Amino acid sequence: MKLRHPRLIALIAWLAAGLVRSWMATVRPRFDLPDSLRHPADPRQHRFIYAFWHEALLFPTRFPVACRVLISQHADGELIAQVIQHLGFGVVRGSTTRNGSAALLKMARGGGDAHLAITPDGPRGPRRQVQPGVVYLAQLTGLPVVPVGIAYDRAWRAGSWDRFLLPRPFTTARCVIAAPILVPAGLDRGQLERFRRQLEDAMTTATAAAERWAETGVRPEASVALKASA
Amino acid sequence: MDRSALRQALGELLEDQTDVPAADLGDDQDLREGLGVDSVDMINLVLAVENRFDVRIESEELRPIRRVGQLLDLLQAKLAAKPGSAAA
Repeated sequence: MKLRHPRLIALIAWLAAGLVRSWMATVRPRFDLPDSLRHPADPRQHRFIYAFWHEALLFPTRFPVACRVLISQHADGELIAQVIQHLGFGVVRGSTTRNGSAALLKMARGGGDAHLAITPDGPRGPRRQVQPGVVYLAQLTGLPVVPVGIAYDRAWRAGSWDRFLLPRPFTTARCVIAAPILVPAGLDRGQLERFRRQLEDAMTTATAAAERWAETGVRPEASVALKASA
Repeated sequence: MDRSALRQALGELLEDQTDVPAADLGDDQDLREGLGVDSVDMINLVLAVENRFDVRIESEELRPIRRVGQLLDLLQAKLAAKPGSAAA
């Protein structure tokens, strides 16, 4: 069932934001970082584009940091956008399939006070495949892209295209962060595609490392490997 | 600059920025479906237009643009609103 009524969407978004905030507060985050810089960084000192798979959209809500999130303009995107706003994040509506250029332009010109966050396989997949917009955004802004892999020790998975992750209460989140990728200005399509593949590979590797960490409880030595491959 | 000159300039920028053959741009041509302009092409085009005509196009103004004619309308309005413009 699609939610269309604006007041109903607003009410559900407000309730959902409260539920998400309470729910995610029970989740214990553990990080594996590629260097000494903590993430999410203070955007007044270091700004990044954080890239994580659509299935892990809940995890960043755990961290109250100035951040603008790209959310789909599809009907169900409105509900997600309002939830994200209630949680204190900025929202830019658009995607690679609808109003992509306007959304990218708004993200790029949105000011220097916040990180940018993108789920590069959204809004409709294919799952875990990076669409090129994020790489182009990195080129436009000059901001490094941080590939993020997220897994939970215990979680439910939805039957949606992205197999959305819902962590069980009081579980542990494993977040593996790979070395930031800097996309130089003035690249042609072929060169941008090379960076798109590099980002996809880094996110895939980071996610696999996070999933192994969640399964075994053993912190990966992925940070070394991820740094070396960057 | 009249609309036909603007159309020609836009066509040149489109060819230059996107490799889209744009010799006979028509107002009703759909940028995405008709000309194959994707979001990356569109931003390249917007940045080139801004640079060439010394105007600023905001993301909200870009959002409803679907066809060549709408882009020309927007550009004409921007140029007319510039200080020193005959129409301003």
